[in-house]
Amino acid sequence: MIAEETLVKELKAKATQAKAFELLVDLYKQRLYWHIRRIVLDHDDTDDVLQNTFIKIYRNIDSFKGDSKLYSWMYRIATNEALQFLKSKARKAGVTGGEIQERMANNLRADVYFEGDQIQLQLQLAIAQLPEKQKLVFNMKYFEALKYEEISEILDTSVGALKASYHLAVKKIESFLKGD
Amino acid sequence: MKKNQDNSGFKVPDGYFDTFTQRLGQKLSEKESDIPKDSGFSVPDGYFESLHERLLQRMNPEGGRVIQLRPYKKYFLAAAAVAAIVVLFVMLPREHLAQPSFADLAGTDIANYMESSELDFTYEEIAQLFPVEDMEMGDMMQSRLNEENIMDYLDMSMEDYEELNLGIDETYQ
Repeated sequence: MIAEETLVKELKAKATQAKAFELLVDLYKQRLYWHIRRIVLDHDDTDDVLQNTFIKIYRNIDSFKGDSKLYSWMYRIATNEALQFLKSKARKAGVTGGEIQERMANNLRADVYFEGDQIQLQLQLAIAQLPEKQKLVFNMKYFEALKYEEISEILDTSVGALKASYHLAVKKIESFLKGD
Repeated sequence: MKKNQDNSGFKVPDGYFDTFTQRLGQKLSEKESDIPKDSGFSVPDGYFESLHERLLQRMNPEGGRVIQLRPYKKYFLAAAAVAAIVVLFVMLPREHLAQPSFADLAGTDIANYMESSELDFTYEEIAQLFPVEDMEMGDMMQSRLNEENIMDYLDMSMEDYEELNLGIDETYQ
């Protein structure tokens, strides 16, 4: 397993860039894919955003100064790309961000790449109704099992605020699933 | 009393084993969360295996060309779009306000169009659109509004003429 410092050095050097990029994609493609997928829901949209994310990482690697972990920096780019995608989709449809996410969650019923049952569909509808921060924290904590300290670095939010957001998100989701 | 040599020097809190069974029973009887652990999403076969190849194709569409690490073109296009709006707003006649025109487009709409369409301007082509030697600062700064334009604007945008406060201000009577 290559050390992060070495990988970054090789990504910045022209001679080793291509090989290092291939390794970077190999190491992080699944984690970043699922992180994005839980935000934009659709596989094809996720594929677009994921590719944009990696291209952005590649083109901006020189601006990575090492003051955070590499994956935190990449997760941040992936999160911003996914959120921008949602905003753009909402703008083109002439609806609010919340409305577009509800529509997208409802579309999962007919999605070939959604194999969840009714309760899993309800879960996505519940998550779609959460405020942005709560949604992100919930996904990262519950599904991706990230530590609060890691989420704090990615979202630039205090651990205390994240814990509060997560607690609220869980309460709202449980209430939604119970039909309250 | 012979010392128990099996604990390797470790100790446990008093009463730990006495209450262990009860605590374990409580944990087992706790209701599991209603939230499913699996999100239900799936991925097409071979998706991850082919990702890197597709990324390279997208970053290097013509094959063999140097991949741009710092493409400034889109920023140049956005700046050109804004400059186009400013110039057209100043120079276009205002008699056709009722009909939509190029000047009615927001700068962002033009920038988005230029970015999303396959115009693929080169820097030289963009620079040709705005020959610096033909422009003066006054072209940007000078107002071309006349009284007729002002009245047309007020006509279109005013709902309540009292907002103009054209009447005598009672305070100063």
